[in-house]
Amino acid sequence: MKDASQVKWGMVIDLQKCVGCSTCTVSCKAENRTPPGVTYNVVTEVEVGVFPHVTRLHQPRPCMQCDNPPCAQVCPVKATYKLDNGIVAIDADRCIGCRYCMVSCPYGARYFDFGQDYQAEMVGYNELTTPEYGVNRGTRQKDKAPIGTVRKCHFCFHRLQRGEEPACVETCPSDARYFGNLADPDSTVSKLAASTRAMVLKEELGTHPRVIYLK
Amino acid sequence: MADQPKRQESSRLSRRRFRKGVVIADGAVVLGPTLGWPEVPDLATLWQDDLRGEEHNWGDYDATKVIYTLCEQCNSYCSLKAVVREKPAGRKAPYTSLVAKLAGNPYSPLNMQPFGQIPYHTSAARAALPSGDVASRGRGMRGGRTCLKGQAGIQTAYDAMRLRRPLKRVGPRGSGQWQSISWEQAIQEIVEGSPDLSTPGLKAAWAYVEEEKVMADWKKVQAGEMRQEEFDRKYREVLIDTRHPDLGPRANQIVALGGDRAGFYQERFWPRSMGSLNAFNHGGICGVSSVVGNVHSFSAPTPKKRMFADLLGAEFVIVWGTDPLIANRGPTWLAPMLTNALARGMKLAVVDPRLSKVAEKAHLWVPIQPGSDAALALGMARWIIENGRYDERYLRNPGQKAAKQDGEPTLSDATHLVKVDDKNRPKLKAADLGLGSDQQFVVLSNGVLVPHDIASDGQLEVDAVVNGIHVKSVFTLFKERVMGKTLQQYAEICRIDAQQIVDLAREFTSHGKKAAITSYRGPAMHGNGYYNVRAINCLNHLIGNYDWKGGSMTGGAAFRPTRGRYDLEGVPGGLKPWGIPITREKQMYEKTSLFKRDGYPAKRPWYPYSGNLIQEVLPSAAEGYPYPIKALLVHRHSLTLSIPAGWLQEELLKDPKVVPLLVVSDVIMSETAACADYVLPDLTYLERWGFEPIFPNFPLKESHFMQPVTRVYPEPRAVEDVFIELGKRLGLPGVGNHAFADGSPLHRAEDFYLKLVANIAYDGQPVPDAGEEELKIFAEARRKALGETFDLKAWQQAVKPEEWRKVVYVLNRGGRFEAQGNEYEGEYLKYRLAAQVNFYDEGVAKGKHSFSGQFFDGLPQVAPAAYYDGKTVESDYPLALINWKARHLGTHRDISSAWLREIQQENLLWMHPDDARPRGLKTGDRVKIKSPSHEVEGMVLVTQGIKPGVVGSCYNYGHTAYGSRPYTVDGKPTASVPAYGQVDRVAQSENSGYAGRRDAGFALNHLQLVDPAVKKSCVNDPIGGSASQFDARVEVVKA
Repeated sequence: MKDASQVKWGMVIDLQKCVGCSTCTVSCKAENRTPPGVTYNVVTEVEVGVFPHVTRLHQPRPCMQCDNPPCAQVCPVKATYKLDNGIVAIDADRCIGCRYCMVSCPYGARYFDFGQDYQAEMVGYNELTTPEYGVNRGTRQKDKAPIGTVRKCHFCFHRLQRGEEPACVETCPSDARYFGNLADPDSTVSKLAASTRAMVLKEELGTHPRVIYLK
Repeated sequence: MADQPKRQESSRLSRRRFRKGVVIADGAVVLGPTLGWPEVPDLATLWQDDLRGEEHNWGDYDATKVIYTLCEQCNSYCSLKAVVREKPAGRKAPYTSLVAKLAGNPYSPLNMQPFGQIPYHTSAARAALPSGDVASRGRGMRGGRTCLKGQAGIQTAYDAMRLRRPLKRVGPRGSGQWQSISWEQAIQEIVEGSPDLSTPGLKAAWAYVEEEKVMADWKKVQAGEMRQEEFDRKYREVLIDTRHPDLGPRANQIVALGGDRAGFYQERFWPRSMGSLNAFNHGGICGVSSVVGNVHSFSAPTPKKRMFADLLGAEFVIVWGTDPLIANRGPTWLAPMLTNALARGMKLAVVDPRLSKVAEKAHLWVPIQPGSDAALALGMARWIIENGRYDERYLRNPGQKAAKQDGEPTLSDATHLVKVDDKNRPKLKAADLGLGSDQQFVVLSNGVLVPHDIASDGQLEVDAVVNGIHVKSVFTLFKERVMGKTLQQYAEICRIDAQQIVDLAREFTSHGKKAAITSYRGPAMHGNGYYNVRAINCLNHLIGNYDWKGGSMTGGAAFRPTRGRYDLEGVPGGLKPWGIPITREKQMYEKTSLFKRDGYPAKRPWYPYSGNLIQEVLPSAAEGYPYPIKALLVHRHSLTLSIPAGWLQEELLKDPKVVPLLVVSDVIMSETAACADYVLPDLTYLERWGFEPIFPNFPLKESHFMQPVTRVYPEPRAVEDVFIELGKRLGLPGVGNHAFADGSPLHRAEDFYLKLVANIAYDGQPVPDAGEEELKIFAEARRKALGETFDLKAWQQAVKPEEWRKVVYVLNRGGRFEAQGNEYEGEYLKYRLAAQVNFYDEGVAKGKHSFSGQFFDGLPQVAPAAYYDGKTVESDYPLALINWKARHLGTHRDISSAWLREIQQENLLWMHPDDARPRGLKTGDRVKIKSPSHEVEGMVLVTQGIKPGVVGSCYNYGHTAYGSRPYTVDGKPTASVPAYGQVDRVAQSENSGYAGRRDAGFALNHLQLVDPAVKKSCVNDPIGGSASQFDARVEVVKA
């Protein structure tokens, strides 16, 4: 692997290929074992046209990992910060749960962890947590982070560190998601990002998302 | 954004660390010098920091925490990788380990489209590590694709609502009152009977006698050489009915219905040990008319059951009444193949009354009226024939020889001659003319009659009298059939524009061999399903696309699982089941003693061409036709939710007169289990063995299987182990000691499945031996995953010592997989049909309907769905009702996954605005959906994505059990699933957030047709045998 400091992670999502199956949504739930009400990766659906000339458009929406992240700017305690590799990180130990960042995020990518769980329906749910941002927090417990903090997609940072693509990229049945180093012009994602079909969401806000869509 | 300046590390304190210090000290950003304009901060780095925290943990794992298995969240059976986390020492919990994550198996090509799997020889240790390059290529190659159902499989295994102990009912069936009992008591009472429940035991109900012996005596009775009374005395205790010995032995009155593990119960235990004909899988309500319609369109040594297209090579594909992005075994490989085919320019047409997922991607969407598939296919065929767009060179090849000369792997029966004046309408055989055998068809070649396998060319259109026999060629018959209606008439039946038929036919015939149709349930699950499927097959026939790259695919190549080292279906001293199945399937009514007694009409329909008609089991038992049953053992199947008009099935399940003993094995209290006398807790797919072949829609050879990955609760037992125990108590062959031909025993499921793995390992060129490292990884992984439930010695003893290392090699990879690059040989697919394709079905042409005694049709025809008495299905209700598999719930069983219920909280009834407006309905309205026999309540979605006049929904909701509601065990109510969050549901919103209740939505199958001409029955296709699932009509009103 190249020098980690040179990697700028980015994701490309091909909307022509996306079939709107929501595998990314559930893969993310399973990978990050997020609680009820916290869904890092939703897929929106819009019906377009009139019968029989009709189709549906699907848009998966992870955290955009903006290079100019509004969420970080409003955080009063600097709990949200930007990593060198492009990922917008949350320091759950610093987060005070004020949720300003949720209001400021133009993409609705942030969720508050109210402390709900699946334990009553799923044996062992609380016992296994995913080490987000490199922190192993052990058993999910009341009054312990990340409960009471804001959470979001982190490009499966832990998986990247292990040499794996994010879970949503690994599983995507329509081969619509691509991942890699946007700092390397020869990488698959860089080539796709150079496509004339490339676009970002709400470009006019100047957030500089690291998630690029292909129209 | 990609070229930010590299950060300077000149001082000991990095710039960012310094800045962070400033920020924290002041609580605000210090913007710089106070003179003039403030310095504009560098936004790109302003919020940056190094990863916080001291020691970082990424949750990594190695091969000792990985087990490869098979998914069973739906019936696609994708290969799977499970990563387990061992239970910390001292933790009090019922499970042996936690499954941390599921992904596709990177060894399996099924999970790794389009980039390909890791090489099969990759060591187990290496395979568990990343071998790709995420930064440059985007893949770590450590796991493969799954779908969302597969991802949620953890919740099936760790479901807190699962059954833990055997239960015995208290009070009447379905009362929801249970007592927990030991396994010993459960087995004892199932075998010996229960005086308090008044259920019979299997021991008293079971009896077997050889067919040859009975029939020899029966012949004597017929000839007057033996008195009926003597025959009665001799066989009264062993035959179902001594007046109708052809019904078979009493063993047939012990019936099994299963949802999986068919290789064990349906191919081995029920026939060979139990000696009963009556073991069924879900075929009759799945897609059996599609299977029958396909099989009857070919003369292939291995029946061709499925219609698939080579998505990797095709230029044009018609997806007809199925959705490869969601189902059809399975989306994990079909979806990436399809999206990448579209990306390279493949054209796609979709025939479906609603805008399915695949229809969203289609270049041409053809929303036909449900059940009008044959009209569309024959309309296309008419245009193709009228315009000479068929492959004449292909169709003129009468036999293998001629086909081979043309480089065609297959040939058709288009030129074969049919005796049209013969009431059975058979094909003319060479023997009829003294030209050869009765296996040779006859064609007209250059004006001369020639056996088909000798002729190098045949005349396509023939209508002649030869040797006094009026014959027509199959092509002429087919042409006459398709010309029977105008394009306009076909279009009216389909309720589409005639131009769409032309567009579809033109496109289909514009790509040579690189066009194909793939189809499954849509056209098949109708009262006229067989004819629909036959008609569609004939379109592929017309262009002769079989075995060509980009054409029709007949894959399914596998490393043989049941033969080789061990004959798993062979039982020393095993029984030979005989008689008439309770469903009267695969039987010619006219050859039975019941026909002699009753003639036409038969009391209930007979199905000479079909099998697995699970929907007919209980209604037949209720009527005692052809005989009553004594015991029903059901596993992983729920009749009440899956079978059309399931409320009827529930009524019958609850009646001890219909089912004197009802035993259900399941992982949870299902709706069917709720009616049982005994409920036995089964293991989930992540805890046990299993085997399922894949559908023949993949161009490479592969075999994979299910193996234990964890054990969540200690008490449940795999249903195989229950059957083995029952077999031992009943003294049946094929279980216990000397159960296999080599003398080895069958005590537990693994004795069977490890032999299956050995067969796979040794097929063809055997796999290498596992080395020491792999043996160690194998054992350590299982010790971590399975804890004390793993007994290495017992596993080793299931196979021969010299086989063990090869077995481990295959177990460590979850199967055996052919390398990519072997899909094609030149312009042909590697695995081929290489057989005769038939426009004309001789077998069906000579069969008769058991009500009217009228002949069926050997050609596809446009026929409306009909009740048993032949009356057309008609209804005063205006809206045609269709259904489909939800993308997020493969079966109704997936309701136990909260993550999947979050995708959609309940099923919605899709309705076109033209139908919604006059009813005053808008999206989100609660509605009553009424059929002539049933009514349910649901919510409506008004959408442009469905044909006007048609409504429909997915069928996966509407539970009344399955953990949704408590029941009572030992006087205490069980837990049921809690409500989640502050639910704010928005119809069809993908973002509703919280999971709904397990009993949300409506059970669509309850609305299906009931046949007024047969007692307690849904409507069935008389030839294909499928239960009608798309012929019902409903009215919808505001609730």
